[in-house]
Parts: sequence; structure tokens; C-alpha cells
Amino acid sequence: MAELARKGAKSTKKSQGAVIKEAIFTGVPYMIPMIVGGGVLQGIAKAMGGYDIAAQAADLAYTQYTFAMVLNAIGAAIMNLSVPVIGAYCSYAIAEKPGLAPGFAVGFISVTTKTGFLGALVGGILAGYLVNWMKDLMKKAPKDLQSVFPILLIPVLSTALVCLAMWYVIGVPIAWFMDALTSFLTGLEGGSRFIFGAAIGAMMSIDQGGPIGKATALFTNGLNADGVFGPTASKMCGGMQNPIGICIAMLLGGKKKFAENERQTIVSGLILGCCYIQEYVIPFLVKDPVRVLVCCMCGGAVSGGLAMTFGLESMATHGGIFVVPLMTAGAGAPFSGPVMFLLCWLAGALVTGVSYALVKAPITAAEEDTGNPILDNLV
Amino acid sequence: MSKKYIVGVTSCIVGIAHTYMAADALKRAIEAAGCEAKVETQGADGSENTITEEDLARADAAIIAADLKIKGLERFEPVPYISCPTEEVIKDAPSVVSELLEAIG
Repeated sequence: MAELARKGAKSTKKSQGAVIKEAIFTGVPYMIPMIVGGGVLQGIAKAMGGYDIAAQAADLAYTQYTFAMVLNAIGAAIMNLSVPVIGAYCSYAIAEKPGLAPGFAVGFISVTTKTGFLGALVGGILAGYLVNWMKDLMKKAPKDLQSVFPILLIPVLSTALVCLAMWYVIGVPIAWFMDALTSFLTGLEGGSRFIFGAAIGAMMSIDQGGPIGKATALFTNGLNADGVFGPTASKMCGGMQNPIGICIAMLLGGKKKFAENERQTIVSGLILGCCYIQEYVIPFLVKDPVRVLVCCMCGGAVSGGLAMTFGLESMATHGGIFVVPLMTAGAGAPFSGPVMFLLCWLAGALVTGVSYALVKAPITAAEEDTGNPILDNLV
Repeated sequence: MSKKYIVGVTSCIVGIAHTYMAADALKRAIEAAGCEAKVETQGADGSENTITEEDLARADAAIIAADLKIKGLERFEPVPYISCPTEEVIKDAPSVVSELLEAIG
């Protein structure tokens, strides 16, 4: 037996697009704990030892490090590994175990050639295809030669070829693109800063943890791995305002607009919001898609746009309220990073909450009885 | 004819919500179709409720609801299985289950 074709599908064979998508989605979850761990540790180190901690440590032998410098070194170690890991596991998703070695290698070369996260993604996918191609070649080779493939030819040739290609060919345009993107993002000013942040915040508020939000998070996390920390703050601010906004709407809308079993979840919703778990909003989105979508996107745009305007940066990509103390604000901001983040967050949540409380239709008697069954399963 | 045994695996990208919502929906749909169910979740904290060799030896079919390459896919080669994204079982698990039951007869 084996895999059955789905209804309407011609065969069980996946399209190339699906293979690549699956490769990226397999690689990302391996990278996330690394940028979360590395980002938070480096953030703590900077809070303890000053923003220039890496520069302070540069001339010292590691035995002379202060505790904050040690924490920063640990954070930097795992952060540096995050880019090779995405290359390795993208390749692994396509070619399994033999894909790991060339994937790791091309990931490291992506760091060297400054193609960063994007280079590692492209390189990892390429490595996977290359290994698969060599596996096919192996099947055609004479019997005596076949055992040489997995132990010698595949690891040597696939690693050399994919890394050389990254170094001399594909790495060149990617490095140029990353450089242009980074200087464009860091060079944004005034209104265009707000619009860029608002776009990130709004994108994070469309499907509440679904594919669009994940793609946006992937983009900002990738920039984070490459040392651009502003979009991450906008992402977190825009995403975290959604659950809080819905809770505010329930507090304002009260019995007339929300069923009893929905309002019972307000406390859980607030806690989930603080933990940056947007999925709490999904049941509301499913029940009343258009209104929830529009209100959340407006709130997300406000939060994300304000966060970007005030130059908020977050080294930590995830962690909700627990990483807020590590946020830093830009030079022109009236308050410190954490306070600014809380204000931007609350501003977006208020926009979402007040607007949804206003536009929400009153519930009917039938709705009061059935409540929101999806919510029952989630909370 | 004895009760059919359907096993499944769910896994989403972040592994904290969709994985478990899909697992819940799948388990309920399989049981609602009058079959025995066991669903493995591959979330952020690794595999839970793992489908073992004994499970597969008596399983009639499997459903892989994942947005990424799951761990141990080769385990399922001996049984007929269908794959779909987590989204699909969260939205409409019963029709995925009935499609599978129809296919295996």
C-alpha cells in the first residue's frame, strides 16, 4: 500500500512548489527555538551590561568575561547557528539524512557570504535537490560503485557543489538583494516607517496564526537572524494586540453582543494575548469573519506602525510580555523601550476592541444557546 | 466486521495550537465515523501519543494532517494513508475521514 491519491488529484506525487513549501516549513520550526533562545539571552545580556556589550567583550579573553558578556556569548553562539540550521533542515526535508551535511555547510557559507537567512533557504533547497539527483545517479551506477555514493561521493560532491554555487553564483545576487533590503529598511524615515510597520502589523492580524501570519513572521524572523530588529517589534506588537482587542470588545459589548461562554474566556484571552498566542482569536474570526478581520487589521496597523515609527526593536522574536523588558526604543521616543511597546500595543488593542464592539451585531437567542463551539475546544 | 482502526499524525509549523486543534478534530471525526482512533501530535515539544509498530500492525488506514514533513513518515508505508494540510481537518475533518473510508472500502 502507501499513499492514496486525494479525490480530484491526478497522483500522489507532489508538485515542485509543494516540495519547496514543505521544505521551508520543515526548516523554520528547527530555527525558531534558536532565534528565540539566542535573542532573549542577548537581550538580557544587553539589559545587564549595556547595549555595546559585544564591543566591550571584543578585546577580552573569554576567561575575563563578566557574567553579562558570557550570556551574550551564549546567545550569539546559538543565534549564529540559526542560519545554518535552516539550510540543513530545508535540505533534510527534501533529501532526508544525506541532505543534512551539505545543508549545514551551505548555511554556514550563507553567513560568510552575507546572504543570511534567505541564502540559507535557497541553498538548503538546492542542496536537497542536488542530493536527490545524486541518489538517482547512484541507482544507475554499476553495482560495485554504488556503495561509494553514500559514504564518499554524496557528502563530498554535494557539499562542494552547492557551497561553490553559493559563493560564486547564486550568493552574489542574494547578497546584493539582502544588502539593498537592509539599507532600505534601516533608511526608512517618517511616514514610510509608519507604513512599513503598519503593513507588518496588519499582515499579522489577518489569519491569526495561519499561513499569512506565518509568512510575515518568517520575513521578520529572517531579518532578525540577519541583525535587523525593528520589524520583529512591529510583528509582535501587531500580533499581540489581537487577543487583547477581542477581549476589550467583549468587555465593552457585554451581554448584548457576546454569548455567555465567550465572555467567560476573557481572562484566558488576556493571558493568551500577553503570551503572544493569537490563536485565541480564531474562533471569533471563524464565526464573524469580515468584521473581525477588518477590526483586527486596523488595530494591527496602528500597533505595528507606531512601533516602527518610534524605532522599537526586539532581539527576541517570540515570548510576549516576558520579553517586553528587553525592548529598545529609537532616539526620538518619549519613553523607554518597554513602556513604548506597552503603549503601542494598547493603542492597537483599543482600536480593535472599540471598533469591533461598535460594529458587532447583537447575538440572537440561538447563538446564546450554542455559544461558540470552536472556542470550547480551544480554551 | 470488526471496528476499523484509523491512526493519524498532526503537525503544524509552530506546533502550539493548530497541531492540537487538528488532532482534536481528527480524533472526534474518526470516532464519529464509528472507528477506533489514535492521533499522534508532533508539536513544539516533540511527538506525543506516538503511533507505535503495534498500532500500525492493526491499523486499517492513516491520515497525515501536516503542513511540513513529519517525523517517521516511512512508518506509514505499510498502510493506506492520505495526506492533507492541518487547515483542512480543522475546518472539515469528517469529510477527510469519509474520503479515506470510501477509498479503503
